[in-house]
Amino acid sequence: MARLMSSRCGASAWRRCLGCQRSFSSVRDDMSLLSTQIVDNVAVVRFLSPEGQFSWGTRVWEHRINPSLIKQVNQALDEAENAGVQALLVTGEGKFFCNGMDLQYISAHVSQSTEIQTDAENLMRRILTLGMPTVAAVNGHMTAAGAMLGLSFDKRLMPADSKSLFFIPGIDIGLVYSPGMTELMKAKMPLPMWTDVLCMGKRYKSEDLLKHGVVEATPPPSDLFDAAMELAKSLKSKGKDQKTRETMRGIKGNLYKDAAAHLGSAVQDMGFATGTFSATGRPKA
Amino acid sequence: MALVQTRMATSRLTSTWRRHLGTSLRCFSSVRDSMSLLSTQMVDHVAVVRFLSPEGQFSWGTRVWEHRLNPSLIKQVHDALDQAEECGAQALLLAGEGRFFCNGMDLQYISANMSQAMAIQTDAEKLMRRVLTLGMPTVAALNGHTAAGGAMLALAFDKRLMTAESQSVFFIPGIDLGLAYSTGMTELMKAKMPLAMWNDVLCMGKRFQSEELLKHGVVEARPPAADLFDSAMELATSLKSKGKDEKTRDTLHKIKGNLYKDAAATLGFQVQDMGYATATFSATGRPQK
Repeated sequence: MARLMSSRCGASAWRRCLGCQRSFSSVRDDMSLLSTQIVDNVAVVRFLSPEGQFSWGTRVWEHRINPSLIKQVNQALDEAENAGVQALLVTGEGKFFCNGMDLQYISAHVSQSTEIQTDAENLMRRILTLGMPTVAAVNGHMTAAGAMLGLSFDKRLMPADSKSLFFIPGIDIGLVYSPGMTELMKAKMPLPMWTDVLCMGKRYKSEDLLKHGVVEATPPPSDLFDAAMELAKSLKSKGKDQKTRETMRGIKGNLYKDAAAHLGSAVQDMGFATGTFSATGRPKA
Repeated sequence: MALVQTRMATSRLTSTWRRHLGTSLRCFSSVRDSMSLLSTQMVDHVAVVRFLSPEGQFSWGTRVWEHRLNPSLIKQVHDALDQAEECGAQALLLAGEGRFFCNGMDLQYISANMSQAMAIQTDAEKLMRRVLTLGMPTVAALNGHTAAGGAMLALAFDKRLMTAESQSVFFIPGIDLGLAYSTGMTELMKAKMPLAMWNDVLCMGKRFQSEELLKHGVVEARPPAADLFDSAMELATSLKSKGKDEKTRDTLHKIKGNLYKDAAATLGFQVQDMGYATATFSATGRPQK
């Protein structure tokens, strides 16, 4: 970890994290946020989790959705498609899978907020209709837009008995979901969950999600990656060649027609400028 | 069986013994392409339609007992529905015999008549729409494999019972055959299966047995094979009050029309080329390696 920080801190400044009292060094804002490997025709993308925060204060290991992460995930998907992989597996390291939109970034760039939301929605749509089976190994908290991103995948695995939570707290922070986000959530969660998730910001653990069929399995934490890899490999036949992958895209495009039509289109301002959230995304008391 | 023997005797007029294209070396005699593929009876105001299962294949090679959707079967089912409606039936029960309920679109027929592919698909979708919104309670007794277009047809019914026999499977393998579902088919499947099944069924072509379908609520019950027909008949009879007279049947037709609005609006209408010409299936509908 020390090596990582010294190479990153070209102009290091120690800052106190807004939220807890811990100090985080700042990282280069353009650093690599993920790694990509191809393992047995499965593209494996991992969100990296160095200590450190961007210059706008967000901690890197929250894997929040900002222009950098969006760009790098799109690049990883491009690589996967060009390499003709047969399945995609995305995972993170540490306490967070993805903690939502990078609200601190948006607060510092409010004029870009609609653009960033559009780009985030376009990424969700891309994964939602990707022409290959997709698996998310949800290593940690999956919240807000990060939960939506996780829902875009065909399959999710999440460890049993973990503290990791799934919830979407728009109601608590004054943010109204766009039509695209709403259609995505409705397309990937069973009806009995809709009101609780969208209107009440209810929190779920992995066992609850398993019961509802939103996650496929809840392996022990140490087995999460291997179980996800096994699942991804078992689905490779559904992405086995170009024809099959085209068919998969066509099938998903119709199956998720409403979400695909609205995600990224006519994106309304969700209320980032007027939302009632603190810089770290917690509701203002 | 006597019925079957008679049928084979009459088909011997132009009978030619052909080797079955596929995995077995069994010989199937060819049948008259225009033969009756189903029987219709009215039993206590329930229209009972049965897919027949003689040995034999059509001239294009498809085995009759797979009850695949081709212009003949589609027409004969429509005729049976017309009869049921005209006779004021109060419920409909459709059952097959043998290993298959319905094994999907007749891909060998389509391969041999590729210029008709879109028309056949349109007609199959229209049949699904008709069953989906039929103005009387409808029950399908799934005696065997229920696959692809056959699974969609089964989903169009109000109720399904499926044999508990573990060999019988329900699955929709478009992904394996390079066939992308049309909008109408997609809406039908979404309207009749819980969300938790969508991705597995449509994107992954997962195979289900009756037990899992029962758990998901896609079938009503899974009686042993010997009891399947009687249980289905009992269910159909119990629902007759929901088709008891013309007014009730008209009401049911309209309720279904709204309940299944999206499927009804698209089935048979926005029919896109599913890709039969470029699909990767062998003559018997198995994925090419």
